Amino acid sequence: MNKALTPFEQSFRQFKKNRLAVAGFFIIFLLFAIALGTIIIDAATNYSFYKKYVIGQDLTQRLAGPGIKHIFGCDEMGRDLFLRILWGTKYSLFIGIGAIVVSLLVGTPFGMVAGYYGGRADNVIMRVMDVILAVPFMLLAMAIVAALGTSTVNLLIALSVSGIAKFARIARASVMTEKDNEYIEAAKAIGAGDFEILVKYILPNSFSPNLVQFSLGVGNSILLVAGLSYLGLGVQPPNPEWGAILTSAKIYMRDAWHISVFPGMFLVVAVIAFNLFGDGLRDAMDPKLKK
Amino acid sequence: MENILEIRNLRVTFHTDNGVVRALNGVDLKLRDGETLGLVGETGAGKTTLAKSVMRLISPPQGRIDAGEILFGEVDILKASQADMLSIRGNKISMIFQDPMSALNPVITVGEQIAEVIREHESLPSKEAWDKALKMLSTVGITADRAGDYPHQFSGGMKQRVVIAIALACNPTVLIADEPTTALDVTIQAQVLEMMAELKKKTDTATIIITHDLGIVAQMCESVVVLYAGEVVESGPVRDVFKKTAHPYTIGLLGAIPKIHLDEHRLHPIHGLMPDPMAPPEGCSFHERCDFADESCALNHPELRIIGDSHSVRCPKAVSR
Amino acid sequence: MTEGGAMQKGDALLDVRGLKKYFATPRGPLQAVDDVSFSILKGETLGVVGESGCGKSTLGRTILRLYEPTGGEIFFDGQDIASYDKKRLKKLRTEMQIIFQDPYSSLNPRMTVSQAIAAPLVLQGIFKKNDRLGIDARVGELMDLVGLARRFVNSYPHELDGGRRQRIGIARALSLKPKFIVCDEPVSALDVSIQAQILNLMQDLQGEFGLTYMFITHDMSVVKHISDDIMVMYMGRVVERAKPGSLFAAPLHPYTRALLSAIPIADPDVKIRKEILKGEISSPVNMGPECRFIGRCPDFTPACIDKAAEEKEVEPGHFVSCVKYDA
Repeated sequence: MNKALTPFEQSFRQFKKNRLAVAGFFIIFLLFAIALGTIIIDAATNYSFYKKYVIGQDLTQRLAGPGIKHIFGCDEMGRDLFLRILWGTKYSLFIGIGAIVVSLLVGTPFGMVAGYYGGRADNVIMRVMDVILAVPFMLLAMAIVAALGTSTVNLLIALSVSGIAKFARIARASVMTEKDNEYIEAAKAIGAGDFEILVKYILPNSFSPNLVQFSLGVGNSILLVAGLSYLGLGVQPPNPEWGAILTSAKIYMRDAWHISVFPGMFLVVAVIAFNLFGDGLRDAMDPKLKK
Repeated sequence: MENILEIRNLRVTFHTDNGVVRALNGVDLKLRDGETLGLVGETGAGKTTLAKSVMRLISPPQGRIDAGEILFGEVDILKASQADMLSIRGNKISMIFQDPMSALNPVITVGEQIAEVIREHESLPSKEAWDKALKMLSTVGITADRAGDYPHQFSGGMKQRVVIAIALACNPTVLIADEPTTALDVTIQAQVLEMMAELKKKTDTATIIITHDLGIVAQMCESVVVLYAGEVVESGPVRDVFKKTAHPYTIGLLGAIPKIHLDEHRLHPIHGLMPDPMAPPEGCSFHERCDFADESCALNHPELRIIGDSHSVRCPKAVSR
Repeated sequence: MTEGGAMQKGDALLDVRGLKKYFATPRGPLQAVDDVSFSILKGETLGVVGESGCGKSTLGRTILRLYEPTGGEIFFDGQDIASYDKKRLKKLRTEMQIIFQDPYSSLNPRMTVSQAIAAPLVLQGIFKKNDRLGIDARVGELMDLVGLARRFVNSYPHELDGGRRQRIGIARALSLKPKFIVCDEPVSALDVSIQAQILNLMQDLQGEFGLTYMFITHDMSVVKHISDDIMVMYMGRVVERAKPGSLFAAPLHPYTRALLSAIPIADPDVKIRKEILKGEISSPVNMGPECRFIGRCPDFTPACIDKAAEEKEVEPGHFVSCVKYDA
């Protein structure tokens, strides 16, 4: 069956069968479209639209409820909540994904080396990772931002550090189960070196747990960006990051529910979308799960 | 001797995303009281599906028993109530699985595991069940002082003995052993087979041994059923099937194994592969691999017919020898 | 089948002397291969038999230097390869290959048939990576050789049955045109009808290319069929070596006798008197010089504990290690 299909096409077919994952994919696609859209508008209008409508205040509309003019209502400065949420998408998306990409790219090689060679290398690498994991996630991120100052780059570093340890652990475990397979010995028997074995044989076969961790991690990371901003350590107001919006919303919770609910809803939907997408991706990528 | 278990026209299918797998296509089988029957076939022939059907362990929605009867005495197992099945399974019909490692619970002592089965099926007080468990252990050649040990403290052969003790704990009338020694080394296999043969002499339990090893059938069984692509292709007394082999597939199987007691320079494999169970061929299921096949074999599906004293074969060309 | 004087005629391709492979365990060294010596003549097959844990697979892998030997010498074509460094070892891989038992786990699930067969060719620089035409031609040739239909060239291992997968493993091993192949239980996972196909294929290839095999198996009937010489191992040591004819007609070591009598024969009229062994195989951890078989041996004498039995040539070409045959 499906003999002529490339592995990518096969995975794609499998993925299409999973409706929830496809829904997740479309939501993620939409979020990207929104993020790019806002960036393009800013570039085209040289931030004048941004300055006027997204961070520009209009106290006459202060705490206005959802309606025809402002579909999500307005915040405590009378700014349109809908626009602010749209403009906030890019922070969550890019910082969230960026942090996970950094964790993945740094953590996976460490974990693979630890798992493949074992012994001393394993001990040194994994004890360092244990130390990182021993510090509470949020506390570590806060400490890093507090020490380095609040900038986007520092935020990325803060968010990726503890992820590195997680990816290293997962990569190590999957390498250890994979390296006992006879095809690894077969590769040695044809003269393949360690690097070749790690990259061509072990990596493609041990990558799916990391992929799941990646997608779950993006959801988590989006929450964390929001969390840090909520605490005032992430994206700074008046920039419309979702967490930052929530911070200012908390005192108006009784009078203006919409300021908390709409950004919160976007957060939940984005996180769920990434999780569904990741689960679908895992099932589709694993050749052994087919049939 | 009377039939203790009779399977008639059993048809089982598995419904997967990619299509319908025809696992058993009308299997007939008779097990007489006190008999040891060998069920032979290669991977995918339907041996394990047959055993699971008898235990009614085919799980819907994928697995479906489409037709047939499995008569155990007066009861049709396929129509029995859930409660009846619970009292039959493990009590009147027991099963030994291939892998002793996964058949035992790792956190309960072996003595307790045997006693538990006894307690469940015979309403014995705890103490008596335990005593009986110790007795079962000694019948399978394990000393009573090991009853308090956990499965991981036993070797593979010893674990399989424990599994057999559990299976025999309630004096079943039928024992189904699914590849009982495949996971064991030869010398250990010899130990276990000898123990099984001796127990057989004592208890006279009707036994079905499922195996791919024709040697075990020749040495242990009185009659044999050869399965191919979900069908019985040949059945009969062991001597008839091995010495007056009638079906081309059985001839092929016997020719394919290297003989330890004969010298030969080349093996005679059966060419090709077993047909895809999702798309079985027209006509005889073996005709594509058969050296004797002609056009009619590709058209007509042969029926099982008797060619000698309870020796039957599913091939129109086979003659009694 | 060659008989008797073959020893003088052929040259030894592989000559192993006092080979040891120990693994460290918390209870002391596991003597997986302990002082094993033998040789294999060019173009012949040495069958290595024994039960699980006897060290036969470790022996094969140590000879290929997939494991580092703890001691001893391995002469391959006259060169002691036990001391080869990484660079020479990579070159050596073109001469010695291995076929594995499990056709499921011995193939990279993410490589197609052609990628798996081509991997050694590219790795050893026989073809440039971008020489698609050259690689495809050679892969096709190898697939024909092992009887694998070319339509499977882009299939993944999980789409194929065990027999076809094993053919890929054989093609991969042959791709570098080796002189010597360690066959580690190549047919044990296959059904009998497929097993016969693969055994015949391996014999044909041996005839065609003059290959030398070390055939590791637990199946006595397979080893009898395929070997020119048989070596029986027990707990890391060689207990008996002989031609199949004399080994099966007159086994000398008590373990070999028990092993042979334990095989169920597929003929209801042949009944062999069984010598059922007591006990089970344990692992050779921290052993002294004593015979490894003492716990289960029916012919046990106190002399068995004191010293290791020397290997003696009881008849020409028939070696045994058992104190019974001392003096």
